[in-house]
Amino acid sequence: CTKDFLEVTPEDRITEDNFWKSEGDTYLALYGVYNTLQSRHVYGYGGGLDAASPNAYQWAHWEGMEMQVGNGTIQPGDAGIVIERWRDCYKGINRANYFLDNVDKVPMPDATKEVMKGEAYFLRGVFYSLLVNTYGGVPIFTKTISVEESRNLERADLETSWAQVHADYDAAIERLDVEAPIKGRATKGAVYGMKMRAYLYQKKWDKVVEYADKITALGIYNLFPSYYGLFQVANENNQEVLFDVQFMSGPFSQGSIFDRYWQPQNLKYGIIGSNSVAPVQNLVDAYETLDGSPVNAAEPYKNRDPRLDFTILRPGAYFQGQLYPVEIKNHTGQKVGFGIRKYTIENMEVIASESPLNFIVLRYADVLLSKAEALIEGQNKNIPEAIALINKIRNGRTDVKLPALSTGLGLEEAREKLHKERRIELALEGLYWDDVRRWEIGPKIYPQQVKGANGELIDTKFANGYDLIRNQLLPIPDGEISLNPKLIQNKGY
Amino acid sequence: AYAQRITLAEENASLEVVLKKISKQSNYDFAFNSDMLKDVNPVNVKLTNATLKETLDAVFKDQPLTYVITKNTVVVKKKLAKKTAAIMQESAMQVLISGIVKDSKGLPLPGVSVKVKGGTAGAVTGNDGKYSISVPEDNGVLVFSFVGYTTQEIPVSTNKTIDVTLLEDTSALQEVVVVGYGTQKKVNLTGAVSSVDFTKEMDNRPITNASQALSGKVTGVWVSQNSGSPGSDGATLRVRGFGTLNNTNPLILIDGVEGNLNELNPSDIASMTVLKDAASSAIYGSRAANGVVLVTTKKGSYDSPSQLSYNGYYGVQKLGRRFDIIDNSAEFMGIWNKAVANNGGDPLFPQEVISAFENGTDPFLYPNTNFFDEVFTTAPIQEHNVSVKGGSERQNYYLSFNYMDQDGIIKETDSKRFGLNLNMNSKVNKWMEIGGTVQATRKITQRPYDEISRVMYLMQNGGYPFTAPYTRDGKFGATQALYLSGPNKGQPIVDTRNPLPDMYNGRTQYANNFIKGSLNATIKFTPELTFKSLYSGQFNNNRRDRFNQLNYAYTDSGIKTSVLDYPSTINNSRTNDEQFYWAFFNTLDFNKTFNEVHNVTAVVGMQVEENQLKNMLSQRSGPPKEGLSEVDAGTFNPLANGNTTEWRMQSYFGRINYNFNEKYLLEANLRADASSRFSAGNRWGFFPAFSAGWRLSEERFLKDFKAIQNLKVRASWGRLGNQNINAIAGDYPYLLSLTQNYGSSYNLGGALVPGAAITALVDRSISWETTESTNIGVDFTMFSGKLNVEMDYFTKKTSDILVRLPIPQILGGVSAPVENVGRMTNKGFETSISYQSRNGDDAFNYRVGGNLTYVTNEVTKFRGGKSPDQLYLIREGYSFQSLYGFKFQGVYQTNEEAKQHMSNNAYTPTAGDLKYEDVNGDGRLDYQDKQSLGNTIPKFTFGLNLGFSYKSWNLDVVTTGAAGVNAFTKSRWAEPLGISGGVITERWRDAWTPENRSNTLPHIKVNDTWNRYESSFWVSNLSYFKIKNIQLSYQLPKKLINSLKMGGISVYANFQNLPAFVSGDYEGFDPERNTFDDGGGLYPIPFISTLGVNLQF
Repeated sequence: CTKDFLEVTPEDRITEDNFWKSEGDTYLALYGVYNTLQSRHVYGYGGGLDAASPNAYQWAHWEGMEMQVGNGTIQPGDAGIVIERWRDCYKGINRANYFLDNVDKVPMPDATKEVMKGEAYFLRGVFYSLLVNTYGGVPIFTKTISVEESRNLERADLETSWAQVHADYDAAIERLDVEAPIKGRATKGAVYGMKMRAYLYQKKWDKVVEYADKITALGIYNLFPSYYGLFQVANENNQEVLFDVQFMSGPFSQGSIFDRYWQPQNLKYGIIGSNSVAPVQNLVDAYETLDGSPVNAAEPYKNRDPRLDFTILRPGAYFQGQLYPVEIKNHTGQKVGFGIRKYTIENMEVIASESPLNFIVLRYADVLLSKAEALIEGQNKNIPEAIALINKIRNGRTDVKLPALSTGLGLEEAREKLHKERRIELALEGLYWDDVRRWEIGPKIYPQQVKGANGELIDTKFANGYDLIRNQLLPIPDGEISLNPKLIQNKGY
Repeated sequence: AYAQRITLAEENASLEVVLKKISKQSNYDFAFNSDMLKDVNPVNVKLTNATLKETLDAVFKDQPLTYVITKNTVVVKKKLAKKTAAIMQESAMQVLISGIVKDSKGLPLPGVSVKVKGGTAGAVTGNDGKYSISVPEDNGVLVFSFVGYTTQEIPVSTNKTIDVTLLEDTSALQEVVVVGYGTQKKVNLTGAVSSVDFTKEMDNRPITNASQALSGKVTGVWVSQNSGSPGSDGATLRVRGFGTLNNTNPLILIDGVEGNLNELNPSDIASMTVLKDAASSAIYGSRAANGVVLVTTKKGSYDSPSQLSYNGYYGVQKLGRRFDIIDNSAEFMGIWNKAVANNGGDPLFPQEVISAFENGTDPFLYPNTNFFDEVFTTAPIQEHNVSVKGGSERQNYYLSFNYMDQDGIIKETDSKRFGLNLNMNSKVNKWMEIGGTVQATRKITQRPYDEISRVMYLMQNGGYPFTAPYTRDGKFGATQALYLSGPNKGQPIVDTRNPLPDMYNGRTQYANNFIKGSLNATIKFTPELTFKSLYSGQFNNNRRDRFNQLNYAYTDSGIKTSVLDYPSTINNSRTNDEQFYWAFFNTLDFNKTFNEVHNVTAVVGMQVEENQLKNMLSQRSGPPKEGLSEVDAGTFNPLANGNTTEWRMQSYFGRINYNFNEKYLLEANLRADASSRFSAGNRWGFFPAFSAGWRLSEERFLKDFKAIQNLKVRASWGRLGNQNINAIAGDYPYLLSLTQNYGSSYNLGGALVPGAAITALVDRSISWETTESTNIGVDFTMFSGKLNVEMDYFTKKTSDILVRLPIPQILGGVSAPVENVGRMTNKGFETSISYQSRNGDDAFNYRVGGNLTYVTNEVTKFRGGKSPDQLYLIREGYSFQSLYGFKFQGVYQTNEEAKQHMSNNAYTPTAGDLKYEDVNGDGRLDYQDKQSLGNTIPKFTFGLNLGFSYKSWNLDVVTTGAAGVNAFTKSRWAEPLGISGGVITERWRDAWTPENRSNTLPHIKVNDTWNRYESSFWVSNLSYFKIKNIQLSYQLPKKLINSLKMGGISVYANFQNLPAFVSGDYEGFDPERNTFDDGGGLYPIPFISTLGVNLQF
């Protein structure tokens, strides 16, 4: 009687003792891994990460500290991206490990199970790749670890860390099909793409070409005809998308924050955005004119690469039929004078932080550009083919038609064109910070002044210059080192 | 005096012997003339546990005598034939009586009042103690009274000389206090216990929550009212420091059952007792580690006339201390511009705008708003309390109704409380008494939709003076700082953060319905053995209804804007928390004296209890019309939550007290508790305690030393538990579970796919926290009870504290397991001294009482010394939640100085930046340069109580304070311009500029990280002293009251929370506040002035 009276168990949660019993349990655990993709500093801040690059400025400096990354003042003890990218990538890794450790306990059809394992391997690879790219070599573990073990981990070197990424991707390639069981889950093409990106970041050019070709050979990917349409809810999961983070509206914590954070204020549809991250003049200037002529100072937005207006909300543009920044306005803290249009939703009502639009992690244009880059930088150079690939981006869609580049460019010119095309095509998709670092162009482009709409100076990025040691990586979070002194801090911090 | 029960069994006994026995059992003295007893009858009587009156009625039934009960004396008189009594009184011959009054040492007592009972004649003894007075022959009783002495009544006999010896009043020594599962004579206590008699000490104070009552009154208890928010302004109580890293709230027992002071009408409280050491609280075992507060509510008493009372007051509340913010728009803009310039930016506000504000007079175009004037107000408060109590021979009752209505000093906040309390007891027969209580409280509290924190947030982060509170046509005002020229002409320069649209936004209404019923039975098997049983059930329903509306702000020119982060949809929601708690306990009491000197009392018992909490939320958005506030009206985004949590406990306990002739005192306690919060095998905790006392004053060598009435030393040791861990670990801390909710899920193809993950680790083997506590104390009473002193030294060592150790984030941000790993000690000293003058009823009298508690806290084990650096540090060797950060050493005066000092730092500070101590001298500022910046737990807490009375006037003053305490004050109030624009307090007028080279205040910057590091710059000494309460009351003259046929009328004025004395560098609201946060979000406690009346019918 005594025993029964004191035996109280909750009925709102799954206790571990009765988990890993049915196929349904394995899905719960797998989707728990996918869930991590939405974390703010995994992919949840989307193109906002461009604030760490010369493309944009995060006036809301407390939000995720991309501003401090972007101007070189980030410190190991800072909140935001420094700790959250670390924590949340490892969150995904731990969840994937937990899945892989236990899934075999569940009786279920092998075919289904193997695909699910493949997804877990793939996701773990994605999380490790983000970590390696952000912090350098990191602690590697592929099993559930104890608290004590977590206090004694050491950082693997860079090569070993990348090797783990590839091992995971390879395990995924073995298991995944070209088509996912449900749209939004990982596919063979997604793994090829992410593996290609890993090689790109490792500067393993031949491998980049190899995997880009494998993707093309799958025969299901192509450029989406419309650059504008690529980022519309109606066209989600289209032919250009290799892998995206799925979002949906409704009060289910499954929406993106993009509209809440990117949009300006006084919109017809009610969201009061904080346009926390603003594209800067430096990015606007990087957009070509349609005919190659200089920008007309009187009408600066005429005759420009149409991707400018698809990506950036600039003065004189209309959003939801309202004139910016007259009828709709910037948050008054945001003095830069541009807004983000890419990934904001114009044609439907959206509730703050419940935006339904998926965030594309990797799309076919990136595959083309990566291959082009490999052909320019690699041992087996093929500049004409590279330029041909770039030209596909420049005029392969119905709504982007730019003059083709000459296939006869020299190495330096080709590299410059590639860099520029990549910056423009993928602007505000959260990739340019990576590009700046791997191209090692920081010392060349910084310090960079950030000016307001009225020309006033707001901030200077890397006022003291860019340090090719320190600024290439984020610091290991201070708190992690204090709990585990075996973690060695990155140089310069 | 305490109503002792009398048991007699006499056959043919002499009246004199019987009276002596009654005297001994009742502690009443008997006054009689031995001549009277010559012609009496033998007594035959058999009584068990009778009241004094019952006993005397039985004894005097067949006697030619009768009796009168006075204060402490039974006066025996001859019976008179009724019809002649009146005549005799008038026609009686007067005789002159004289005599001398002496004290127990034989010294004459001057100033003693001598009166004829029931008559008008009176006299006062002279310097030689002599008096003379005329009294009616053979029928008078002389009353000798003197403050500090027991009043004596002497029947007038044939003797014309009556000499009297007055004894010191030692009734204080008879005081009985409530202890766990019983009562005890205070002089026999061996533990550390403080108590407050509410009827004596708390009358008429505007206490809105019972928890505020102990402020300044008792030693060892720190009372801090951290909020003035109507309806949720309960104070934090800490008994002897912070006993654990977890919940340190003391256990509150209301009439023996765990309860919450929030649900109690303060006027229903008869007394509060605080059990401070292990010995006195061990009977509550696992719940008692943080002290126990026993609340006894008012009850009726048997054989007492009905008494109807009304007490009511009406008052006003005002904001006391506040932040002095700059409310001149032009000046404010100038400072902001300077701040932008300090960041290397260009001015934000064009000079023409500043000039326009300097010269403009139209308050709608060029406002200079101080939002304190708009958000705060003078608010009324009133309370009415009606009670009736009384009892017959076999029944008694107490019934009260209470109504309180309080508006907040922040507009749009208010709370109303209705309370009903009924207590009845009935003697079913000689051996059984049954009683019960029904208590119902309904409280309605209203606040704006997004709560006051949101209003405060906007006021702090944007209560810009250039925002008009309202436009000239009464709409909410927007910022009036507009560009006057250029491409943005007419556009706002900064966004609108007027707090008023949020203050008047919809409503959040809390309705709290509390119903408690309890039933108890007492069965007396024998005079020695009593069985008690009590069941109590408490139903507590908290409902919260919320709806919002869409408010906009407008510039004078009509531009419509929204306020920062203002919701864009209308949401209607209802949450409902339903709690049911029941407890059932049975005790068996034993009480016997052996050989007249060995007094033994014992209690054994068992208790079971259960608590169940069920909550739910329903919400929908987008009602088709504004004003439709029910969930049903919503059109989209339906949302629902619901959950249940539950815990149970089972306990056995016992206590035995032994004393030898009330001289040598011993006590032992044991309790065993089992909690459902731990897994089987780790469930039971055993909590023993022992204590002893020695009343030296009862020893022969002190007995003759008349200045000392009581002197006792006492010592105790015991072990207590704490399972009150749901805040850190919930109700199932040992159970490893997977979280499955929206936050762990994903979506595919536009549909939710549920996901699950482990988000918290557990340690399955966790068990009780234990606190070992020792106490050594001494009590003494001197000078006829005028001086009372209590002193205690104590230590409290808590081990196996349940802690979530920080774990690496590499585990994926899961919450750490709760483990039994921390240790902490509290050591201290507490003393209370009171002195009371005794100058006669009508003369000037005063009382002075002081109490002081000194506690030091130290975390003695936590993560082997390696704990994360954090502002509120928890680390071995430091006081719990010490402040930790950089040490501010001044302000850099030149860039060179800064550069040299911080040569290796990523950010190079400049002139005007704060200079922090570079502890390791490596030219950079990092975690290695952080150090302790002071403790947040006060070392000293104290109170001083003064009382003065003169004739019908009474003045009472209660003060309270703390010393040796620091607080972190970098709130959004204190930070100039907040994080993205906000208020600036006046002290920043002296901020560093190249022209004004301050070494105490840095320059103001926007987007400032450096100067806002957690450092001693933002730490203030929070020692304070304040008058908590002053009350002046006047009792209307007896004559008038008698003519109105009333029992008593008094009127009073009361002032609560008077401005405090606090160290000069403290900026902000009343210093009585939580020291574990920056105070930015607090609802300041009000200064309350009330006028009231107290009527007895």
